[in-house]
Amino acid sequence: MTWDDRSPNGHLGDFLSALVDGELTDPIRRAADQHLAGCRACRAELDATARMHQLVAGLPMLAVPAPVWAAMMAPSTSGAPGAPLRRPRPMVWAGAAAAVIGLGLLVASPPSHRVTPPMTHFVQVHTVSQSGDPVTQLAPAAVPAFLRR
Amino acid sequence: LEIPTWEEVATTYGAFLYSVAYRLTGNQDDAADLVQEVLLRVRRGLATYQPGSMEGWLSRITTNVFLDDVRRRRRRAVEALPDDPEQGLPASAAADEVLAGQGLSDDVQAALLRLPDEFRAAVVLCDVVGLSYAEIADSLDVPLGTVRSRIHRGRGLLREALR
Repeated sequence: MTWDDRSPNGHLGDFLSALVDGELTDPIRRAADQHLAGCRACRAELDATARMHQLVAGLPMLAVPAPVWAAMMAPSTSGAPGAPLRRPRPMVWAGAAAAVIGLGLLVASPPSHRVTPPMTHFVQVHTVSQSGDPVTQLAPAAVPAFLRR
Repeated sequence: LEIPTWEEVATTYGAFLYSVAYRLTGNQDDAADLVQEVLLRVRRGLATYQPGSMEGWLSRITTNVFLDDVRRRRRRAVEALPDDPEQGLPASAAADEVLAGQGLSDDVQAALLRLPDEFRAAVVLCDVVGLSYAEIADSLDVPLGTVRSRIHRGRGLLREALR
């Protein structure tokens, strides 16, 4: 078959893509080359076709985003083969998150606070103003009489 | 030749699979859904996998799952048409997807998304995956001439979109 069978105007048409992709048999490719030698329009279209091929073929391989990767690997840790793998939609995640937060508010223990005392300051104060046994130093200055022996 | 395990397939070909899925769907969520569905089928089909081009096998499954989904969406759209004309419009989410980032790759990806789904599938299988026309014809279950026509018309539309 030649392009003339399908193209009334005699131009190469979609055989240009086949030429770019190396899909023409030798006899057809030779005939195509002959046609190209005398057809400026087909040469221009061949260039444009090759450019589109290069652009798409040159698209980079994409890194798998972490959430997608986690979802991809989910079947290896899930139950029976064929278990549903569909990733919950954001709304489902939002609902689940809200439920978890609500449950947390109901049952959570009081929040613990992390305290960071100014230890350096305390050491300096005690070094300067106290001497001797620090426990003795902390005793009240005036002991009630009834407690004295 | 040993048949790879499911985990080996995911680990070795995960980026390839995701890339093909992203080129077909144009956004992360749909690509992730597509990859998951493909891996499910891969997992079920590994026992019958014939050693050969794993990329070819995976991309055929990916394209078929993608086109199956497209056809399902079209059917739903047609069914919904009498009651809700808005739902009958061609799915435009992919075409309207605003791609983050910059550069020529994004322009090309955006142009790809403007192609009719069948054209995009043929172009992706040819240019991204590197399948032969015969393999694409086999994957898409269409004659070789249809593959050639879809690829060439697809490239013509890409050119218009990138002008």
